[in-house]
Amino acid sequence: MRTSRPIRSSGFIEYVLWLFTRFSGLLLLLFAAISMGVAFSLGGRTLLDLPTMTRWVFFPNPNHVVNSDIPDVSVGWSNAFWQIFSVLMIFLAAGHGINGVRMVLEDYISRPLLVAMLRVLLFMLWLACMIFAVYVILYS
Amino acid sequence: MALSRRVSFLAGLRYRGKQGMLNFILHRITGLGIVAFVGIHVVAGFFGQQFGDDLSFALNTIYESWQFQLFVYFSVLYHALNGTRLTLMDLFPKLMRFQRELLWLQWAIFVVSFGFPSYFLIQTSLSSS
Amino acid sequence: MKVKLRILRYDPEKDKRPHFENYVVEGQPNDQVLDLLNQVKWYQDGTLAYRRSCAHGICGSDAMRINGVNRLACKVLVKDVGRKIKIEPLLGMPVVKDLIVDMEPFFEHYRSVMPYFVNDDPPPQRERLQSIVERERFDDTTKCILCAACTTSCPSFWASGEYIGPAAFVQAHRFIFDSRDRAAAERLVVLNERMGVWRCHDIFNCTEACPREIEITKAIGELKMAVAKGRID
Repeated sequence: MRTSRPIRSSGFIEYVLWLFTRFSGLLLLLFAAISMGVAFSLGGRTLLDLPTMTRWVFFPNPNHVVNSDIPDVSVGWSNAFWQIFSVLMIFLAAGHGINGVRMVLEDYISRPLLVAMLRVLLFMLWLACMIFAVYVILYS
Repeated sequence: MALSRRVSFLAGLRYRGKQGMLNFILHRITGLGIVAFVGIHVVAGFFGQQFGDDLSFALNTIYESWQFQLFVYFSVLYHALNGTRLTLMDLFPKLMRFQRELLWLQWAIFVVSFGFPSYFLIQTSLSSS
Repeated sequence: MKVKLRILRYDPEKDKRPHFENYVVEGQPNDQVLDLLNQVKWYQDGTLAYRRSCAHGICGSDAMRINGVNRLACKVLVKDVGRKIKIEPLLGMPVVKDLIVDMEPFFEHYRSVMPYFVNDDPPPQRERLQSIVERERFDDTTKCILCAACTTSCPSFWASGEYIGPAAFVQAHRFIFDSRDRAAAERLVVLNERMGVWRCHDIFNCTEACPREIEITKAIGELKMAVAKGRID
């Protein structure tokens, strides 16, 4: 109504991460639901037990669900849609988790230098996660 | 950005907050737990697959045991439901007026959606072993 | 009826660390906890230090932790908390003596959100008019008495004293959503800082602790949306 200036101050990145945490959480739930639906439609209606279901929900990659009782999981999975789906899922999950760890650490660690170092470490961890994930998804 | 903390972690825990604080603590514990489980699982899976490492196989065996699955399922389901509640309240602040009702609703959904699968999981695991 | 009080005492000039002391006083179920503290101070131990002023829940002087929860000693009755009462000072602010805490960190954050009316427009002939709906918008947050019960119940504030804290957010809400005020943009910039609204994790300790029953977390939620959208509606 009365404010016209776009709001940008030192906390802009905090705001972006706050938003990311919420939307990545919701999207991950959506992804989990999609994976579950696919698991059922691929014939898992009567064969799935909870641990297998968990495998599907977390990471529906042929590598990961190969042990489940569903026949021919690897057929039709190496296409672009599922590869992008998996990469996106890892991106959201790793971002959500590592940002959560950052929040907790910044609450309980009070030395600025240590916090800065941990931030760098966490960012590297996130980067490593992404590289690993892309490698696993595309080349195996 | 120097933090000035005057309340120790334990002193904070001694505060008798109501359900909201319990949920906050559980959300953090389950969140950190998921990061730990998934991290260990991924690393163990990688080492097991690439180098046939014994420790990795042992870790994954623990990870895939039904008792541990129950634990993981609890964490994930709780974290997801609580996170959904928080997100909804953040996006629609009007809902915060009904925060206590939302909490009870969340627990009701949790009990049902945790209870049934874990009942069947325990049943099949006990009968098959 | 005998009531057992367990009070956390600390005199920085004498004691190395805070310690509990027990007192037994005569009390009625309808007595305020503040009445019991008065009995201790007036008849048993004159060295006990605590703040009090109006004794009617309006001045906000006597916020303290009663049985582990932030309350006003003058609004809590003995029948609400039972016969064994544990009384401690507020968390997260330096203790001056016994139940008295240094409120300066609290008021520092309070000042940071510009808790005053800003409007440089030339004053109209008579009054700056406001509709009933416009007044209703921030009615809830006008009730604040600055007792600090909310801020000192917040885990984010415990984690970092830099966190602006619920009480200051309530004040910011009161002025930002006032249709006559013109400084909403500046306040929103303050709220968007690293230790601003994004450190609120919707724990609801503040809402539960508030003696005036202000829906603090809801007010903070509205502020979050205002910062996110960059406008007020």
